[in-house]
Amino acid sequence: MRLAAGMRLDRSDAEDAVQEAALRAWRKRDARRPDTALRPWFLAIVANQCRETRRARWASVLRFADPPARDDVVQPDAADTAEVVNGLRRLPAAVRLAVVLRFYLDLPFDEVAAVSGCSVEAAKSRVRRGIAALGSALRVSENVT
Amino acid sequence: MSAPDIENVLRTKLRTAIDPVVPDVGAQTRVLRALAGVASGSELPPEQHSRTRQRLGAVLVAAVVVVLVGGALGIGLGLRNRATPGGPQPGTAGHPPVSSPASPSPHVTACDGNSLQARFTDQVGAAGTQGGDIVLRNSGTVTCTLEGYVSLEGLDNGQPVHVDVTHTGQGTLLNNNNGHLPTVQLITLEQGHDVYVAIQYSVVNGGPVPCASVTALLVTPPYGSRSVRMAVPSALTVCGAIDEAPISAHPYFAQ
Repeated sequence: MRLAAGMRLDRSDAEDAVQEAALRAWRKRDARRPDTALRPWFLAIVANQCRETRRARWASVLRFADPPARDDVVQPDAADTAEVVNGLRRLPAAVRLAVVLRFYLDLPFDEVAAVSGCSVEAAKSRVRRGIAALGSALRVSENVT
Repeated sequence: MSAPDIENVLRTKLRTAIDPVVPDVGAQTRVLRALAGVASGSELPPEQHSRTRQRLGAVLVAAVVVVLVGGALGIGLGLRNRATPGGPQPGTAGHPPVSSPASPSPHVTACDGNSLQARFTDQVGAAGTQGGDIVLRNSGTVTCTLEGYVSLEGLDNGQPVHVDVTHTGQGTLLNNNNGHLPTVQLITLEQGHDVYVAIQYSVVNGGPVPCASVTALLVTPPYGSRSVRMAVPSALTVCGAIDEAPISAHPYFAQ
């Protein structure tokens, strides 16, 4: 649920994605190799489901610019947090996944790589790109702290 | 800031931003129930269609997902709610005492999009809003069940278009002024019979987000894996969210 929330930034979307992912996992349960760890296997299915949920990107960004009255859409109450959220929305899916896995789920790099389907070095590179892309938001915090 | 400082700031900000949109325990319960419905439904191999095996399948799926969704991600599955004195039980809050999809009768499964036909009733407009009933007919060969809210996705000339959907309780358009706003209940839909989903939406642009033109809706039943496409008589202009009522045995707007 937390991965889907981080990827979709919308409660309803996240719930839908997890439900679809769980169904996929159930159907693919026999295809999982015995040497594949359960957590990264399932997280990878969730990540794929989140990526495949088609959304109009402009609509997401604009929707955030005009916060709706729903309680299941990110409505940050601080400008710097808003910048992080908008920054996340702008990240390429693979980079956002790596950032969420590393800094929100606190996974080690080998699991980030396993879920992302890439090498550990590539996972580290994606995380670095994510931090760089979110740099302005972090500079805000630097001024604050 | 040093690299560890930056990482810690990022962790804090991500928690602040994402935690509010993490689905709650109720969502996890719904996922479990959906999977249990699959396990006890027609998607299992024919040899598992005995009642005992259906229940075993449902329990196994629930156990697997408890591990996957709950254990792997460090999320509880309703135990905290159960410990709350007087708190709602997961999956039953506000629901009438109806049979659970997790343990349906052996031969009745959740309706899926491939067994339904959908049409939109005449739109009713008032005070800058439009609304109508989505009519879902069981065009399949067996009785099936529906409970809760359908998923709606917008299409504009065949292309996906983003529309937000609120459910009654969250939304503000559908209200109970006329005293018969549907509530969530399990409905058994026999072959050839109809159920109704009331929707209402604003047609007045109240913000910088452009209104969406919707020429068709993809309607996915609860626990369904297939959608049914519903063209609308004339394109809907949706400003803001579509407010959706639960599936009902009775039309909302035609009464």
